[in-house]
Amino acid sequence: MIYEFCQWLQDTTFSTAIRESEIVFPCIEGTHLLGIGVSAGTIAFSDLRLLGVMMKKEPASKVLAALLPFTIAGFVVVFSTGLLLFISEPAKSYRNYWFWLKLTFMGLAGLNALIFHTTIYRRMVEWDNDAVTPRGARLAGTFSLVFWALVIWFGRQFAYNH
Amino acid sequence: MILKFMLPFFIWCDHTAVGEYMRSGTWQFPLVETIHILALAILIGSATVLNLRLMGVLMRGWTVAALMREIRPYLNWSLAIILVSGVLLYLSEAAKTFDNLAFWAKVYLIIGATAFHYIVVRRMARADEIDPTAGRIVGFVSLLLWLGIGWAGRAIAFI
Repeated sequence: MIYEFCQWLQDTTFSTAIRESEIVFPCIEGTHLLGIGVSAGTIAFSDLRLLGVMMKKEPASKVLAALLPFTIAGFVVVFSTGLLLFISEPAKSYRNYWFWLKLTFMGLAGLNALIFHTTIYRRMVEWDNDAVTPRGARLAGTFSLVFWALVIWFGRQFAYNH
Repeated sequence: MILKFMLPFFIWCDHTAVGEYMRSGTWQFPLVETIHILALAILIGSATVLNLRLMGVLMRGWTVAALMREIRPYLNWSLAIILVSGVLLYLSEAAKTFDNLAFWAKVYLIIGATAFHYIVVRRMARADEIDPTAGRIVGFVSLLLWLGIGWAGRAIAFI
């Protein structure tokens, strides 16, 4: 049923217009790439703070709070361009296992963030200035780095394996 | 924009052992390109944070110098990795890139962004006091140059 929807979507004028455009598709993809830079880059720095590797002398809450708006801005760009890219070739994406791998690990990254925010994050004031961050924070930071690196890799594979 | 006299050099690059090895199997190019993109994430993240601070947009509670000290290793290392991986990617298809305007634009932007960062941005970041307007201009120009490289890079595949 989902596949039929994807096929229907791929046949729409909008989808075809993006897919076959000379300028629009490259622009969307280029912006997607830069959005990756901003969002993944700032997430990496937040994760490195959670790991106690970077900006160690600043309270963790302060570092995360400072970077978060830009991570969100980057995500908005990545998701909206990503959505447009998907809309331009939904059926092809559906048939590509790299696409599903990418979605799965995006979901896992989101789950990791959710778990972090509902548990160890709530007690951040306790470990804000600790030299060694608690295990939960270090796990969350590691998983985040690994998951997002994999998402980037799967995205790249997906782009080349049509 | 295309430096015609460099064609022999491009052809020579195409035939190097490294270039041939990059082309010899199916895993080399994807691996190097993935490393290239991961380094890009860290580089753009570093450039974004540093330049937005110069522009007075984020982390205003910190001095630029303090932030620069934290960011510097990540910016330098990601730049080094992206340049090395970029050279490998270039060697794998040097002859093809010669006629590609986007490739030349990317190279000029790489030179511009790197020079601007190390000559202008770094000096400004070390100063005790930064004039807000100068910071805004310098940060904006630097960010634009770095982002421009990314755009030009993507355009290579489409020209």
